[in-house]
Amino acid sequence: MILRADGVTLGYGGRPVVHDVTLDITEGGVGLIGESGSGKTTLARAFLGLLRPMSGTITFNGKDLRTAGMKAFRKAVQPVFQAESLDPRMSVARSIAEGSRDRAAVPALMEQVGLDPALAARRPHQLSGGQRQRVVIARALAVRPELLILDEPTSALDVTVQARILELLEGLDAERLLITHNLAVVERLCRTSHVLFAGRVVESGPTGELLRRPAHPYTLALRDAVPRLGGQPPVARGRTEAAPASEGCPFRLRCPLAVPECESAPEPREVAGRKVACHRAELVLSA
Amino acid sequence: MIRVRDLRVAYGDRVVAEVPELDVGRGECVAIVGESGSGKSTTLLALLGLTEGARVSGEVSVCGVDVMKARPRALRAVRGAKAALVIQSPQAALSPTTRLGVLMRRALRLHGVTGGPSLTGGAGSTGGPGTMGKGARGIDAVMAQACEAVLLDPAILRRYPHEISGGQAQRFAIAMAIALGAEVILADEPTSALDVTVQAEVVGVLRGLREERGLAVLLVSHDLALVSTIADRVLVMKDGVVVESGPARHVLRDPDHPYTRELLEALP
Repeated sequence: MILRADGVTLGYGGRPVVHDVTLDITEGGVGLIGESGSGKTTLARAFLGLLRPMSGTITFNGKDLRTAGMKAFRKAVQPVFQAESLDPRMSVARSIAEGSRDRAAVPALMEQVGLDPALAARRPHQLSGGQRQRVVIARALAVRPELLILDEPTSALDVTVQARILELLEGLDAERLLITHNLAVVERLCRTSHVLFAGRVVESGPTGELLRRPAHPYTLALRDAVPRLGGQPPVARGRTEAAPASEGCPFRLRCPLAVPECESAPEPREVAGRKVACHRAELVLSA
Repeated sequence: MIRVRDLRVAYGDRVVAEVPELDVGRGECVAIVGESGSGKSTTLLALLGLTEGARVSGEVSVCGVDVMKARPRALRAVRGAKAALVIQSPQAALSPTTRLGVLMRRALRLHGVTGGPSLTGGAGSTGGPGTMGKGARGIDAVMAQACEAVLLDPAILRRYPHEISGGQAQRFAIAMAIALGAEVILADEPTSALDVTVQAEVVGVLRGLREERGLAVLLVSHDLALVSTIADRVLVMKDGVVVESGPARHVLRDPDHPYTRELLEALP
């Protein structure tokens, strides 16, 4: 484990949007799953050292990020965002070598991510979406990071291009924290996953188990909403319009299983090999 | 409801979409799938005569109107009223300073939907919070029913576009189509900007309209899994050409064309 969040609360302008999150980035890939506004990207920004926690600590190799040497940290932890994050004025080679300042390594890096080194002089607008995403990955790899923080790296791509990028990501040595709403991608790239709802981790555990037998009604709603090839039409469970509850369980206003007990906030507890914050977890598991 | 024969759309010398045959009947859902640049959206726009600057040939008939030969007035009656276009992010197309109720009322008036005799006085009002349900019962009832058909609380009509979520905006766009009495829904990636839970809701709404109201749905999507759960028939497009078409069950389970197989194998 190289990064760890311990009781981290994050916010903007003094208003918290991520509450009391504790999680480790362990081997085998870690996924952060949740819908828009659930706080996944905010958490990623904190893990990149771009946002200071309001409370709690983020540690990097055992050292508090506030006191850790940022130079080594910036090298060790690299972001891979959507391809729009490339500077439109920079050539491929300049973009890739921007962090490492090592132009000589560019052709090898381009080959590693499956890009023809002949494209080195091109600018982002002269590349396809998949090629641009490969440049973003090569740029991150240039400084030999220990961990990649991937924020929706394939959501803007066509399926065939996405498949090739996923293959590339699977084959890399670096550890990964993947932020996405695509459950199939998480299942493929991450051994462990955390499901976020309204800035709180509602369920954590082995990805396969989590998606096969969810213990939190929100994880269940997510799973059943995903269309599967030749499967049943996706099911909408609960009212997606209801705003998260400010007190008690944040999911209770949407939850089809809510009971009066849910007005008190559920503490995360161990159920069937995962951690889940729900009073009704046993019922969800048996469903 | 939709009948296309030998449609060909070209910009200059470049042919961007060629569709030999496409039929969508009442209560049917047909999907066009393919990757970026395959010509799927162009095909959809050609059905409404919205491919400005392109050379379009072939036969296109939507709700009985010959789109290729129709006069602008007849075409306007098809666009919006009989055949509604639902796009990826409808919020951008909704005027930010106008309440949803006013927007819908305007669209209804433009297409001559009166909502019955009790309308007098109501249709001309500017809408807004105070005017709902007073003297405009006919049209208000049409609007409220349309909202309910897409699982929206009619109170949403008092809100501004920025006060609603993406899923609500998408359902509002569909509600507008229902209020206008649309017979055909042309949906271009209607759920790709939405979270999966919200997507499931919108898909449920589209399915319901098809089954209960007999609406014909032409869906353009790159999401094969989604398409497999709602479409009766599928056209697979690549580089402007239809490479395979047929019943969804056959095309998506046992495809004949190597490109369709490639698309299916690429699913994570």
